[in-house]
Amino acid sequence: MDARFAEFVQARHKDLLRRAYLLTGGDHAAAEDLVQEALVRGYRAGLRSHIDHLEPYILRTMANLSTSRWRRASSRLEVLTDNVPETQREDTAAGGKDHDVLWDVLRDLPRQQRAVLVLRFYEALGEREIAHVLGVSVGTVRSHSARALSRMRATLAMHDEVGDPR
Amino acid sequence: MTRDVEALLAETLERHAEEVRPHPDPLPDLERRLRARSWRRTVITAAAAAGAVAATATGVLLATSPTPSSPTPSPGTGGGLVPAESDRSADGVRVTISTHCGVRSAWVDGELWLASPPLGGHNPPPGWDENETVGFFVITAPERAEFHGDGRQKALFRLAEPGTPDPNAGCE
Repeated sequence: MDARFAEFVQARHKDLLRRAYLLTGGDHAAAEDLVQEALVRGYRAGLRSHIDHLEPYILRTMANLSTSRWRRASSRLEVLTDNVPETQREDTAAGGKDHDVLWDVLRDLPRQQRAVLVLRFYEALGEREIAHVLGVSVGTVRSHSARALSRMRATLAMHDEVGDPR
Repeated sequence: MTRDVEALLAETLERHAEEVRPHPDPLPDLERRLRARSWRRTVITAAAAAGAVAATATGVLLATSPTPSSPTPSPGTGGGLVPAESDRSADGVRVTISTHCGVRSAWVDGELWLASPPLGGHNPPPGWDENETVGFFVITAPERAEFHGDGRQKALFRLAEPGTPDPNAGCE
């Protein structure tokens, strides 16, 4: 493997995995798979010697793969690890319950809506950039974002009315 | 109660992103995937070349073509793209050109070449294979080359300036 590419992977893997984790709605195994697949595609696309172009390519590839059905057809080469990710955590900080509610809604969203929200509120991309990354129109980005946020507001309001149902 | 859902969501994403526990060394798995993918592409290349040789003996390029790449991946190389799928001969380098989004670029020995002119818009040009076409890449002049496909396809290329993004990079 090209030394610069290997150096990039070592340096950026954790951050790429964070993005993938959000894009997959908190599926750790799928996130590992997503990062690896995007890296393989970046390497094969010849970007191993153009590191400056690699990270945007990886993000775009991960976002698009996460909205497709790629993983069902993949070979499911998964990494076995002793480090089990947390699935539940104690959260008594102010707003913690709201975060849990939003996270549950996010995980339940259609994949493209989830990708739009991750790109907008984690990557801090603008609507045009998101449209470019996902290969959709700006109108589609707006409508996905509006629907997803509306669902989140409604769910939070419902929790306020009935109290914490957990 | 009114909340700033957008700000809450941004915080939520930040907090949950911290949950990831990355594998301490992602490289072995990546190397394995690259080797597996290289193996698959080499077999495709070899099969396509063998089929072309069996089908025709008329092409000068084919008549002098070397044995197709060995389908055995070479351990320790990391499955590098070019060494695994190219063979050299006096007639050039054996390569596989991506055609799925048109003939727009080729990577040969780690260098990016741009089709001049690009062929096929964003689709395989007529007469080219749907996803990939196998053939020989021949340097004809400084920074100029021709691709001769096994099915008599032809495209002209020029060497890209260093740092030029691959126009085919986003092709899925």
